[in-house]
Amino acid sequence: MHRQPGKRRKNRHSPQSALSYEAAVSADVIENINHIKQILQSPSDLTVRVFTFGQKKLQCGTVCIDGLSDRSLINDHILQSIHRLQYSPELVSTNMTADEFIVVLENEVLSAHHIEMTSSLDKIIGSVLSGDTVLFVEGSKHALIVESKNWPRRALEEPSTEALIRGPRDGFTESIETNTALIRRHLHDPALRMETMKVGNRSKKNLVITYIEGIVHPDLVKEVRRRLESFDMDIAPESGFIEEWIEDSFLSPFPTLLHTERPDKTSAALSQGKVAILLDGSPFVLIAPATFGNLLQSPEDYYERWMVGTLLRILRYAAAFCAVFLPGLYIALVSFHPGMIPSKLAFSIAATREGLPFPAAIEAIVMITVLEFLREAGIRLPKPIGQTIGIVGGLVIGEAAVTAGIVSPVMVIVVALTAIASFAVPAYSIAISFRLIVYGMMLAASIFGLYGLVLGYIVLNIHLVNLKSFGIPYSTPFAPNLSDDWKDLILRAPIVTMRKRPEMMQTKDEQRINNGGSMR
Amino acid sequence: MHKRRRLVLCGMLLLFLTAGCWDRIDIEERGFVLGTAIDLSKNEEEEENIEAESPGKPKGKTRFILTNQMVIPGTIVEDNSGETYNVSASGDTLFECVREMAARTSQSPFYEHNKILILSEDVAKRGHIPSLLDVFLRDKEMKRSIQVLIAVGEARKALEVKPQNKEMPAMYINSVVNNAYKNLGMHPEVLVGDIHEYLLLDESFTLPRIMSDGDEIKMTGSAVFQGDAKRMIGFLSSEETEGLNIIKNQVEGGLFQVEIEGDLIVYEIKKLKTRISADVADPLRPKFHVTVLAQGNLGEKYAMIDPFDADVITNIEHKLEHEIERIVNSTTEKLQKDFETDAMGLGTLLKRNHYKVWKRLEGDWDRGEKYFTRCEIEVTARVQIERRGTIIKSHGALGDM
Repeated sequence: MHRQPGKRRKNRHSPQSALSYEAAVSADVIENINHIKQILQSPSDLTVRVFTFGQKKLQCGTVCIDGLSDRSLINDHILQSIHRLQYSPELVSTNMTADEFIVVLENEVLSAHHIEMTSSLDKIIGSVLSGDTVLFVEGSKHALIVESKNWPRRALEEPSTEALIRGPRDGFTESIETNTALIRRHLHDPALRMETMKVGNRSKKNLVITYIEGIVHPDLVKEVRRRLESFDMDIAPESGFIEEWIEDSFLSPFPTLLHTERPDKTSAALSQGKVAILLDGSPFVLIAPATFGNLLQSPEDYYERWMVGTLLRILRYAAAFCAVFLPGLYIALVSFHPGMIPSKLAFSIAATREGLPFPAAIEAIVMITVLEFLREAGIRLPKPIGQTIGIVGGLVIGEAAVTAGIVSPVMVIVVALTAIASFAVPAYSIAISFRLIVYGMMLAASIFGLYGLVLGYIVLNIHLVNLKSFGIPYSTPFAPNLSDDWKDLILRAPIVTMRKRPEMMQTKDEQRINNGGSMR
Repeated sequence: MHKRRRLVLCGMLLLFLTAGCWDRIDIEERGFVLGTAIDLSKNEEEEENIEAESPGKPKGKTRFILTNQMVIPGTIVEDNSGETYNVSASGDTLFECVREMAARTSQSPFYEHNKILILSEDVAKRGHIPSLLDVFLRDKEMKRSIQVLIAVGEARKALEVKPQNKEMPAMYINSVVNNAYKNLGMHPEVLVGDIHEYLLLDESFTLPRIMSDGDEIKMTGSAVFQGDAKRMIGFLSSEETEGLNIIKNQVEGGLFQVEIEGDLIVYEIKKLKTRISADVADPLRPKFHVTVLAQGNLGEKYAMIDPFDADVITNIEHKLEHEIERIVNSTTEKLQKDFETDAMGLGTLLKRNHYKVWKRLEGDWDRGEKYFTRCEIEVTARVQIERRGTIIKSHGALGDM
């Protein structure tokens, strides 16, 4: 499937497709209900209530899906309101037509906060499936869609993948309304825009593009919109699907979009002129564009004192380097260049490696693979057992393998350091990329030694500077060098000194401090 | 277009396949050489054997014995202590010795961790240094930071010492040099790279001397090399090395002892700077003024003197000045009269400061006409005693002093 930029193919009306229904609402309530039943093949959760109204025994019917809609709302504000109407003759005259009656219902009787009149059966089915209740009246070719969504939803919890010591504890949930509300709570900015789209021609999920108008570069929003409209897929269970569709290069191991569970991080990104993409059903919000530097930042850098933040960032860069190059470096030094290790260390490494069956390269690759097994196992196992895997794995690898003379203790240290270093990288998406690249580096080091490692490093850098995220080079502000943005890169300058928004985002409103913003 | 792409691809492949470190040997398979000693082979019988085994083989001028000290990594506990073994092999060239050695040890010798190179007195005196150092400079596995020492007697005996603290002999020797700041008679370390410089500049130089005696080594004194002949002339004693260190301004510490009122006091050097200026009024007979400035403490006192008396201190300082002048003079005398070798770097000084004069003297400095032996060296010392120690009195009975 190829992306076709600019071609919106959401509403396909092909005869083969059973995804849309041309039919309009008929005047017969029973026929309408049967039609819906037929399309949905009478599922067990489809709730139909047919009743009559007034002396003329005007037939009415409601259709909704049990579990998705709010029962008490339907009882109290739809059914009861209509029943009470019988005792208010001033509102309904007996010679009223069904269409007139439905207008009275919409305007004066039903007390739901969102009611829509429609004659399209397609729309009705879409609404029913998303939890709304539809009301048919005998003789009218229109129907009322009353909003009664009450989906099962999770309470706000602390984001487990991005836990912080200091910072807000709320995280996004699977419900998009909650998520947009959480962003609004951080940004009471009238310029905050939220554009809704539907994605997935089967899942028909809501997707929201949000940004702050007046800060964001208009072309960025256009580009995000264009990319989101350019693909056609049936379902979108997670924002990862969207990410893979709209990212710049799906061949790169590096993520070019940031995902986060944190509303504070999202709102901060919006205020830097970025665009966030929310997908219903996913607690992970995508932030575009993302640079390499962004992926090594954590919100806590800003919440703690700036010197601490700076130290943490330097440590993270070191950790990222270790996570990628440490095993390769070990192989290269041990197998090719023992002269580069300080004498005493070289002797002790040689001593620990004496009698080992495998060369360092094989040992390293096997050990890193075992580490990956452990990580995977740790995630899969139910939480209470998850703890034990660490102990078992640590014991098996750390103690038994060394005592049995299969691996050298130095190798265990190297593997452990690599694992720790990769956990120190704040963005999980780039940390797993590093885990992938480690293999390449180990391979390069085991064939060519340090020379191979340097080649690998160069290749990695060439790839990084070539990569772009929504038109912004991935390596900004290293290259192209934007000196003002260095304030918030490896260093985290005091907030007072960061007067401007990131230069790389080319924001319309540059000033961050002392101007009140252009939209106010 | 396709042809070009194929070309680029080929180029990339070549880049990968033709370069690179193909010498992958795991660390445990290397035989780490910690120290090397070179002696002259005096074994006539062996030479006859070789003659019999390969009669047509080109022969060198001399046969050497190369001794490598290899470490047994498994025995290393902590603090350099571990077991080592020495392997010797003889050959006409060092490479031959190394290859010969490979036939005798299970691990291939690996020289990147080599710390010291000990040459025997005989090797040095016969002028083999330039040719022997060639491989130490040329080979990629050799480091320029190998320390070079001249052994009195046989060089491999020095590698056979058994230090009391179970240290590996080569590491032990290597770390003894680090004590140079405590002993004035020790020559500072000289590395292979330094000698390379001396050899290229045809300069005379000195190397530290090592004396071994069963379990211990002693590292005082130095060996003097003539820059022209590039061979060793002789040894400077410990005290003469003191003078050499003073003149060459390479004193890191040490002490002087002087007699005063019939007993000794010890002067501990904290800082000693030497400045030499040359007077070239007579270009063929330059005159050197050596000014020594010493600062230090009163370290130990046997003599019954009152260190708080300014006159006493001045007296001690004068005595010390004489002592320094005496030491330096004995060195210059030995170098000028006995060795006729400028190992003090006076020629270099002329070259830097009086280039025209040097141009005239260059060929006949410590060779040819030997103008060096005739030049005048005048030593003036200035000594300051800065601290007198943390006590006022050490002899109760002499409290009135």
